[in-house]
Amino acid sequence: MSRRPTDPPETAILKDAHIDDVARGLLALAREVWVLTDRVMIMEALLEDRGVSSGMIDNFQPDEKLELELKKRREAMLGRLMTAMGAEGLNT
Amino acid sequence: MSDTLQLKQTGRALMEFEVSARQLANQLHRTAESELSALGIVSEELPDELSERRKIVDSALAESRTFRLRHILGDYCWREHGRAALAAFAEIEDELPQEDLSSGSVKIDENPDFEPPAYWATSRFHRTEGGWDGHARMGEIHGEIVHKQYVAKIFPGDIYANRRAVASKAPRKDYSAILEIGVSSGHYTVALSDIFPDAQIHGVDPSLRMLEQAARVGNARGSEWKLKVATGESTGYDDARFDLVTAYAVHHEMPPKAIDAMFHETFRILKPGGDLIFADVPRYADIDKLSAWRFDWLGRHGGEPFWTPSAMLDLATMAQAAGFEIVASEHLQPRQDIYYLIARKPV
Repeated sequence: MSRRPTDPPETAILKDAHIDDVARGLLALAREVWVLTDRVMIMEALLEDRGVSSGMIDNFQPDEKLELELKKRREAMLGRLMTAMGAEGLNT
Repeated sequence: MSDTLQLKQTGRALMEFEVSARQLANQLHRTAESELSALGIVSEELPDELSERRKIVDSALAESRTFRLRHILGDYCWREHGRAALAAFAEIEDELPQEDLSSGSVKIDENPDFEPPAYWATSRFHRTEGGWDGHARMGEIHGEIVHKQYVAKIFPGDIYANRRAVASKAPRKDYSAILEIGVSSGHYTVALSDIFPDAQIHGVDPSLRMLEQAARVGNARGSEWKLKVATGESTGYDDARFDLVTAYAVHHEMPPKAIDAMFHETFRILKPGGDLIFADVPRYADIDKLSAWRFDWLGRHGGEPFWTPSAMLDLATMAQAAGFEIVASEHLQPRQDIYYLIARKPV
């Protein structure tokens, strides 16, 4: 993307001192993932009561249709992440 | 043994994430390289000297946000793919059948006196967590998870078909004793076995764990390969023992001095009239300058310390210096893809 005169100046946003902030952000993200993990485990327990065991989930092999859907979602998620980090022109 | 080791949900999702991340890194790389032409950097005008080429391309891409992201994502993949594979294996390990490799049709000589060369023992090839030997079943983790469920999906084309294509280039079909150098998990050994069904196949590799995986593969086929822990530069076999000595994708993991020693060792153990087939990564002299820069960059960052020194070697000249006559020195597809050398020990 070509720069325009009104664009803010291009800078290296993060300085060394900010790397600690990035680490803190990663830990906060880990906490969010943990909350989701906790929720998934509760869902698995509830599903087990209804005949769907965690072993069935572990051993489940996606069929071609689901595999394709998972791939699309995975690539879109990675695309959004990279776009948030500055990549341009990715299909998300 | 099934064609592909079936992973559980977490392992499958981990490996599929690694594949998608690596494919995206490759896409970002292509985008970043396409930005070079806008900066007036074109392959044909880059310096012949690789170190000069590095300075120009590296510094131009240092300003590219896309390339920085490509580097971050690639770095993540290089660090994490092996960890993901170990985690995927841990999830299924307890359910794998007990094995007794010693009772299989493939025999392994563990060669207890083997001293691994320093270049092999101290290099972190591919930056894979655990190296070649870091787990009791590391060969299976490499062969079944890293190779089949990661590498085969991120490299263009069919990496296994290339092995068959190289073996099919052999000048003769009636070899009786074949030695493969750098057996790894046995993918090329399978191709050799299929193409030369009447030959006794031997193989060496410095990693016992990788030979164990080759044995699993060979046992499942009922093959009677004889494998040994050794390197190509010091095989320990008698003079004039084999009528074909071959290696696939091994040279780029060896420094030039060891490659030179391997040519001389191959000459020694081949019968007069015997053939050598060595296949490895493209020769820098035969590909465009930007592609050579790309391989060099990937080698520098992706745990391939000997890729560039080895890809810059003229293997045909080295073979001649060791006494061989050259039969063929070319790429599977012109100016790209796998390079192969066929040479003969004079009668």
